[in-house]
Amino acid sequence: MLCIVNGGLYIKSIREIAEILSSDISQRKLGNPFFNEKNYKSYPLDEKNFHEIKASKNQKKLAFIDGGNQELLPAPEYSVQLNRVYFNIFRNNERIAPRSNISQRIEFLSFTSSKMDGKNIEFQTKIAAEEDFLKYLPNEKDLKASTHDEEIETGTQAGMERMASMARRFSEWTIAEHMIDSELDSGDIIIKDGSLQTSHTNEYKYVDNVFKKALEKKVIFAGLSKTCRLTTDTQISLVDSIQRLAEESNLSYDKWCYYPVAKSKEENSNHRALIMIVKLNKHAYTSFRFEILKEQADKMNKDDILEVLSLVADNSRDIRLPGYPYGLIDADMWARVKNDELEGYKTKLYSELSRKGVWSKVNPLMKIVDTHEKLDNK
Amino acid sequence: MDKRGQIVGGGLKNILIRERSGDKLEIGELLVVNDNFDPEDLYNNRNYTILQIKDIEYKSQISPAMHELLAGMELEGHNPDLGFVEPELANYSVAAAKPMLAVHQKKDKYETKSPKRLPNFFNPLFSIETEDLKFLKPKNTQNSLYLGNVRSGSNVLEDLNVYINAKDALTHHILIPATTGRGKSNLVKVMLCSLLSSKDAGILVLDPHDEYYGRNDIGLKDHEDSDDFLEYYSTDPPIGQSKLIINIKSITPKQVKGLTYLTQAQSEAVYLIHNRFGENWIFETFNTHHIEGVHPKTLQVLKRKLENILGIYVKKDEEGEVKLGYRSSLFKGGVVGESTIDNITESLEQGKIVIIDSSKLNDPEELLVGSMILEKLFYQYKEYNTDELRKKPVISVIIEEAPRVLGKEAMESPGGNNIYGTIAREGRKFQIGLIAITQLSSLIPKTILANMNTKIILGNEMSVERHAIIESAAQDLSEDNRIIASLDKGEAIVSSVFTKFAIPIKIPYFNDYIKKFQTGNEGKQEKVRTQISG
Repeated sequence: MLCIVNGGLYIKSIREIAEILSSDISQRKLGNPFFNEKNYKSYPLDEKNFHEIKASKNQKKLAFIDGGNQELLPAPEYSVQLNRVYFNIFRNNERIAPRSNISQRIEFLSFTSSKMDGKNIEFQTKIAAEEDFLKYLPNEKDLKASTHDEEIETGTQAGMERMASMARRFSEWTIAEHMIDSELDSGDIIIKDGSLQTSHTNEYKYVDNVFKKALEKKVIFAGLSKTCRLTTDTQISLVDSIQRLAEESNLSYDKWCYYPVAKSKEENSNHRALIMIVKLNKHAYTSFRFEILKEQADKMNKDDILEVLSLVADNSRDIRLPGYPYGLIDADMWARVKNDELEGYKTKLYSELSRKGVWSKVNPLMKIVDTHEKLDNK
Repeated sequence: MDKRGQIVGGGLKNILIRERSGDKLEIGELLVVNDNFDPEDLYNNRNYTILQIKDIEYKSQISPAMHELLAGMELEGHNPDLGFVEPELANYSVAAAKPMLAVHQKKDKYETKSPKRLPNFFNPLFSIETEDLKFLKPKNTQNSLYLGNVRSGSNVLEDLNVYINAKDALTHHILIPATTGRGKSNLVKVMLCSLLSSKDAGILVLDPHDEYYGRNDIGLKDHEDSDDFLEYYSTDPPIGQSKLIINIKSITPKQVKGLTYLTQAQSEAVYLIHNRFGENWIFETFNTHHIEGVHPKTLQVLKRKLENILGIYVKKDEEGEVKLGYRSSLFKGGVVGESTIDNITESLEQGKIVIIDSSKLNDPEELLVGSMILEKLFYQYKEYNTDELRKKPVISVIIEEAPRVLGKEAMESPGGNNIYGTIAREGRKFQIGLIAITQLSSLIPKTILANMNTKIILGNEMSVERHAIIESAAQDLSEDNRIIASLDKGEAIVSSVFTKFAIPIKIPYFNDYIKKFQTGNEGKQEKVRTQISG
């Protein structure tokens, strides 16, 4: 028998939840940034750490890079992904064409498969790309991983998806390295969508290469995260705490940077960053987590950091998303693999599988993980 | 060649084009999209489509609410520190363009078709160039009617003249729908100027504003061939030109019926008098108090009507002899003006342009003069056999305020079977056509409008009139309503069964255009005597 929720009861439930939530929020204190002290040095919240971002006449280039991937063929032991990496370069908010002949948008397919090796699951990924793109992509040898090394939930589709996204993640680093090498000069800034943290065993090698290149060419490497799951030690969102602190301090700055929040320790090879929270426009609906490569940040004083942020803030004036860099809006748009375009690729892949006479074997595998999607679409 | 825009959507009815930033497209502008892209082969074997922009609108990647918010912040002084990074990518214009013509060019040969396929998606569009419209150039311009230069939006292709075959266009009738001040007189002068030296077209011009000859200004008289190919009739002619006098003996009962409503009794009476007295029928109508077979009251009413429309009255001389008096300088009795109509028709048959200055005539008088000439010509041409007719020049008459004779009311009135209507319906068979000028096309019956196979459409701010023109055009102009409304002075659209597509034109300023025809005109001797026919 179907039971339709009574409208009155529905509202009552919402009110109850709102009450609990507001009570919890008001009881919590802002606290201090909560980091694993083994890997990070964190700094207590202090209103003195707010710094005003002012306008700059700096003419340095700002480059942005982002990637996206979506699954074409989902199965428990296979995953075929459509991967895309895109970058752009701006100077004075005007787009600059690349100097080298690299395509700004690199697209490739990857095939990740898993097999049992004793208690471990071994993953490997093959890349299929245009000949011209291969030189910018990671080595397939580095796309091997096992559950022994990786922090993944074994035997889950989420684990497979995480492993399958490796190719795209690594490509972002390789392409960023090429950009620093060929497109950017001393003092220019490259901003990657997301944090500078690595999450795969072999990722370190790629990150190390790109950071070395950045240090060598004196190109500032930064990351800006759309979402930030960092909290304070009172389990409040770190971004929210700092925004509340700004309000409580009656901060008069339109644009500000809060730093230092935390800094990676030397021994933290997976994450080499100075972490800060930035509000890049007066009308920004939220502030963002911003990181600068630690080795570079160590050599920068407050003014140097604010100079970098001033350039980023100048690029964050677009009405579409005030306070978020336009370069990353653009990069997200061109890197994102959209559902509607996925269909075309799926059809081509399925017809090719059918032509090879293996569709009847692949199809049941797909159905196993596809049911959820089908239910969602009902 | 710079890209003007790029195809981003739409269909055959309206192709959507994103405008290149800062490169303002215009309504009515012609663009070209190539369907093959081999640059080596582009001018040897090329397929392209000509499109015309029908509408343009703002588009943005950003929601309208965002725009409104930002505008509000700026207007209310909120110092937003916001804007559009790369505004040229975020905000832009999209034009809707209609494919007009598909062209296949193989070296110097052009094959044109109505577009049945879409140009390739995302292809770039370029401004139209003379080369793209080379197929419009006639092999021989001698017997062609020049209308102006191809116009793309407000840009004029100075080296691309638009001609239509004079014989075809004139016999299939031309309509010039125009409101005041849109350059109608200038257009007619340019057309006449281009035809003046041609022996293949005789044009009768009923000129109610006395503006074509150029009595006090530059006009057709200043054409180098005007001595040989132009005649000017006026009730008050300048020295050297002909006086317009119509002898009342030339007037027939049918012509009178075309000018005023006659009851059946009056009509029968008129024919009876005409049968009895021949060409003196008007004189006798006034001269007598009694005509056998005509009721005295009918005769009295006839006299009054003739007096009203012809301005004739009875007077007695010193000996008491009855004579007719003429209030209008147009009509005369006796022998004066007996050959006026013959002379004019003869000139027209010689391929001349005859301008009748009707500025001092009233409406019925003007129409009567036109009717007399055209009736004579029409029946003359009707008598010619096919071979004879082929050797004769085509005849066309320029009639202003055409609904006077072609309007529903005029055509449906008892006396409405006028010669203009006859020509509109049957003239083509006998090489006689009309150039009808009107502000009110909607008053002309659709059947007549549809028979006007060439329309030179000037700007018109009246929606009803635009619709009447659009509905009867030779090409589909259903999307041109706004374009017609926005035509500036001297801009026109030529929609004709004799053109490959509805061609936007810019008509040159007559005073400039005639300079081409004035070479060697210096030292021309003026005629010294006013000619009086008959």
